[in-house]
Amino acid sequence: MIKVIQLKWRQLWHGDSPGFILMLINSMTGFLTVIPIFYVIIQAIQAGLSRWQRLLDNRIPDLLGKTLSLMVAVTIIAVVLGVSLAFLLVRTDLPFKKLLSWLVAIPLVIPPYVGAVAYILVLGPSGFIKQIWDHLSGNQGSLSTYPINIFSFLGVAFVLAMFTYPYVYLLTVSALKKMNRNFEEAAASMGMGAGRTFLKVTLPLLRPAIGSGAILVALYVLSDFGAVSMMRYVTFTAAIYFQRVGFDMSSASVLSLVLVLLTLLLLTFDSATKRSKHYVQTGNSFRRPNVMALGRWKALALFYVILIVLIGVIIPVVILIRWSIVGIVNGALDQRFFRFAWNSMSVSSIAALVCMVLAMPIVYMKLRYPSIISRTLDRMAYTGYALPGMIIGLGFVALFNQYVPWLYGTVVVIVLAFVVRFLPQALQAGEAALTQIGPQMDEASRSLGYSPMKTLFKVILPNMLPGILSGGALVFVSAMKELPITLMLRPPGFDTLAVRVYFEAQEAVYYLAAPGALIMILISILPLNYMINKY
Amino acid sequence: MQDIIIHNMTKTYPGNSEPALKNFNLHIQAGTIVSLLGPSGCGKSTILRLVAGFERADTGTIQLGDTVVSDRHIWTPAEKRGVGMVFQDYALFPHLNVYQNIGFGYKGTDCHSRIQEVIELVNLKGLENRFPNALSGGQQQRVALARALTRRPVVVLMDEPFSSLDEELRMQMRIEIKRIIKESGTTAIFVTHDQKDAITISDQVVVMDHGMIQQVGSPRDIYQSPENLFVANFVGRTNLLRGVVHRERGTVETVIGELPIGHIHHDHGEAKVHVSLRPEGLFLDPNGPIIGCIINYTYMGSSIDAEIQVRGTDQILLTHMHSDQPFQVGDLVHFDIMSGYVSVFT
Repeated sequence: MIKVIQLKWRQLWHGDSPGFILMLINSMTGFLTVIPIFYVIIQAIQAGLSRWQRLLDNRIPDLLGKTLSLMVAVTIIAVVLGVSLAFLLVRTDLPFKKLLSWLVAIPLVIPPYVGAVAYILVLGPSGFIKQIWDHLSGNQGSLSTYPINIFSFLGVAFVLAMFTYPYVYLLTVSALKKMNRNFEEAAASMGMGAGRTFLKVTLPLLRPAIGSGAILVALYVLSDFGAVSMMRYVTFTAAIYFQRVGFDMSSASVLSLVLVLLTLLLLTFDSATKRSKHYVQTGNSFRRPNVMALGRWKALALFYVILIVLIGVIIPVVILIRWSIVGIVNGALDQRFFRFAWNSMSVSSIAALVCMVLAMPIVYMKLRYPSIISRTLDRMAYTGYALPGMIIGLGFVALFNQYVPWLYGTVVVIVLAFVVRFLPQALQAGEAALTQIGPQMDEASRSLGYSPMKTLFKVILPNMLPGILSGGALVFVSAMKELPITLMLRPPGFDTLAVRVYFEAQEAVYYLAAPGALIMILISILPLNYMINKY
Repeated sequence: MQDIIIHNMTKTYPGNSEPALKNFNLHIQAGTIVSLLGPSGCGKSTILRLVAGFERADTGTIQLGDTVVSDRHIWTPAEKRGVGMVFQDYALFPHLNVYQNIGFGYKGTDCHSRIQEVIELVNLKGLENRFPNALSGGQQQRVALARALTRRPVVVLMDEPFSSLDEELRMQMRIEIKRIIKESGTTAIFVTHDQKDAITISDQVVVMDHGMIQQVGSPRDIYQSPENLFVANFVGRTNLLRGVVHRERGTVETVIGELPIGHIHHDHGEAKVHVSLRPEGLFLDPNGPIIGCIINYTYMGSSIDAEIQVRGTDQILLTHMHSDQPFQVGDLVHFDIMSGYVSVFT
């Protein structure tokens, strides 16, 4: 009997099984990452029929309409912006291409709620555009005829699109760069003009890339909390937060479950399209696509790209600098500010450290002991990647409130939730690093007399370390920017920079919000090059 | 006795129905270089991995020197076997320099002098502080071999060591690696699918197919006296004929006439046998008994590959001629046969 189990166990691992400690650590990580979400789902199911009925009658249809319409609008704008910019910056003779293609990618790393603050400062009721308008029209105060309302559907869609289009842009750029010139030349040789070639050949070949980009944008819209709530637009995440603030955990869970289902739907759709639309580009006669001369359209194209850079990067940064100066003059950088900064830094560094430590054994087991078990644990560890942070926050609130009350309301819970949310970033970096060191490295070390344990420390870790460290840096930056989880889980009095930016902006104390927002942007730009290469 | 004995070994990979190795037996004498030659998937790499301790056999025994390292009860892990391994892509540790790579795992008190000794053996003096990414392909291979030799292993295992080198470097490194291994006095097993590698470097060649040994012998035996169709076809090019053996005369009767026999395998007295006649076994001789017409002629620079249709038959024979021969397609030529290139098997 035991023999049979042993045999099955070894078959499962295709030979050697990993050590007990490795299994134990990874199982614990795997369960940490899924339990909060499972708990939310269980709570939602147990919420009771009447509550479901009530929410399904009113709240959910309303939220679905608002969320989905926003998602569609943002995705469309982002696709138009991303594809047009990618094409102009890869396939045409636009001047300053190198600098511009770097600049248009920057919005990727600016957290949209920071962007929202900036646009409220530009276009909002106390923004400088309004001041100019009032000055020109002569009507002021309650007589103002200022037509732009940033706190509207279009305002939210515009802000979100401006900070998510880089997903589409970067994926399209890399697809364009990989595209073989032969296809277009084949089309040309069959008598197709440039325009028709673009529609019939180029665009269809780009479809998988544009599709993945669009889905990333849509997923982001589902998960965003900061920007939408700052602009007073209520989607699922914001509704969950307000239910939680009103201590209606059951309703919050029900809404979360709907949001989880929406996210899963999108992810399934994504993997289904990826499977069916897998184009193979012939490898061995690759030639870089040719560059199109823009001719008399060059000035217009350049104007368009520069306009996007102005709107997406330069205006927000300049306006934040201006308000930061106002803030600093008025004493915004006081002791409180530095305490928030310190809180942000410490929580983020601890989360980064924990992520690095936990990522290594998971990646190691996945690549060195491939089996259904190691793959499942790896997948589990990725749970936090796709799901909105708000749901992870809610899961931790519910779980720790119920079962581990002595930890609830401490920084530990924030760190754990950050780990669940950002561990995938460390995993990706670690996996990329370990893939570079093939299993022959282990075997070489073993054949030279080093035990598996010693091999790990003498060969694997030194080579994995740079990758793991860059993963840790990514986690750190993401954690610095994180808003919803911190909002949900922070102990009383424990504010981070992100939380302060959110509250000051909500209360329209912009000169206090600006310095923090500016710091967020500066920190976020650090890993930009890494992010660009990733997509 | 530092011989390596593999006895009755069978290995089936999980998920495969066909075993990668079937009842494999091999006795390797200390100090020899043995190559395992065969097409991909013939089980040659499996032997290497089993001897190194990276895989575990289903049945069978492996004995390195006086110690059994693997059988039904015993299993010595890779790190305790004292086996040196040179990997196909060398697997040099990218975070260590040449000196540290070569010294990796050596724990003797003569550490420094031993590393120096090995560095000199493989001609890498002056490159001690380089990192692997700053070395050429040939240098990387020297480091890999040196690293495997430092601990004075019972046996050095080499997995397709030449496959990532270009042709020129490959020829140099074959000679060089043979010299290094012979100078160090180590036993070596190496795996290749390239017959030139196997023939030039080894004392013994083991030709394998489908997890079984097809023939074991010196490079000359394998080339000149193949013992079955697989070996005759896989190693080099050959002319295959059918024939009947005349035992008393030591000849074989074929469609092109009666040929002298160089080697006969499995003499069961069957009527019909296979005859392998290597192209080198045919030489121009104005008085030779075989007359044929040149039907195809390829000038190769160093020699001429010619196809000859033997007169009175439709048998076509491949032969090599000196590149100075002024023949043309359609010319009649006379040949004689060297018996050393005629091998007969069933």
